[in-house]
Amino acid sequence: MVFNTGATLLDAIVLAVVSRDINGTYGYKITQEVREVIDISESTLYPVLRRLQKDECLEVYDMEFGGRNRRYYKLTEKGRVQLNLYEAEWQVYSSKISSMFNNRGC
Amino acid sequence: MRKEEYLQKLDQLLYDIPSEDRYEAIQFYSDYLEDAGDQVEEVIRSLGTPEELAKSIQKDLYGNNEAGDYTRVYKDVPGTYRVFFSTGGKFTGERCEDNSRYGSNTKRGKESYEAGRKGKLTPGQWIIFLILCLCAAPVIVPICGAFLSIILAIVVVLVAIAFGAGIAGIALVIAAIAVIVVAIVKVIISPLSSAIMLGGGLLMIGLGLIGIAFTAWIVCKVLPKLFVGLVNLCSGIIHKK
Repeated sequence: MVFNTGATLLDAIVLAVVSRDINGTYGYKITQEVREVIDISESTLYPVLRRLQKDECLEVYDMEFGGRNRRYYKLTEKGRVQLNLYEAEWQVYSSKISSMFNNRGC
Repeated sequence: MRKEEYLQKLDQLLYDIPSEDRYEAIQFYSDYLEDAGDQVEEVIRSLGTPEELAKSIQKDLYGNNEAGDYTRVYKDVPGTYRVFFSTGGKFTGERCEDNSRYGSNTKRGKESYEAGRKGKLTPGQWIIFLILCLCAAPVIVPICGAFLSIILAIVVVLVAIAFGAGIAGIALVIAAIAVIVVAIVKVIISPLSSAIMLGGGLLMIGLGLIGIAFTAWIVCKVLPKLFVGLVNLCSGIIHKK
């Protein structure tokens, strides 16, 4: 992939991934699902998740799994609003870029 | 590196961030490695060394991310622009021209460069360091001396044991061969004592071979491990500085 993914787009992707699990999902799964779409290192997501949590776009809770407490991330109302905003912005942005390529001169 | 070992190392390396942040980070990566299941080794490899991960955590949590460009490993293609969306809607770009780093990442290159700079001491720091060394010398020199003597003693004892066992083993085997030869010669004259000698000779060969095997074990297994351990210890001390 020659295109870099900026912080905002990564936020949007992470929010979208988390939103797919209504009851919340966990760090490893989020990372693997994001990695299906963009090429990021394993260590990229921790600070992103933490920041989204601090910005109150994500909330966390611990739930028992296989004899230990696993941390789950869940979209908040604010996160949902943010994700909608990102999605709308992305539609505009990507369609502009696409139409630029569709109408190129050669 | 094992999972527990990795997390423990990471925990130690994050000693200088607030304990709450450290707990959160360790909790996250502990979960992460648990959930990795069979892939854990691969995941650990791609997370990098505990040192690298600790550095990236610290940088991400407390670093300056105003440009919206915080650690992410994207492959930079020479001749393309890196484009970031900053939170303020500004646009920042950086041209990647370094072909030698193809497939790696500009950011990380910078990071290791800065780390390299941090590792070097300024002249003032050197002077303080030398003064500290001089002050500490009366204590450190005898301790190091004692430590080295103990190591040397262990090595000498091991070598001596190995040498002794080896020589004894070889001597036993040679003697055993002589006894067996005599036993074969005597077999017609007195079959009974010949059988006893033959048995004794075989027993001696067995004992001799045990001695030789013991020597080989010390020389080939124990001593190299001891040396590797020593070298690791020394490099550990040097790198900590």
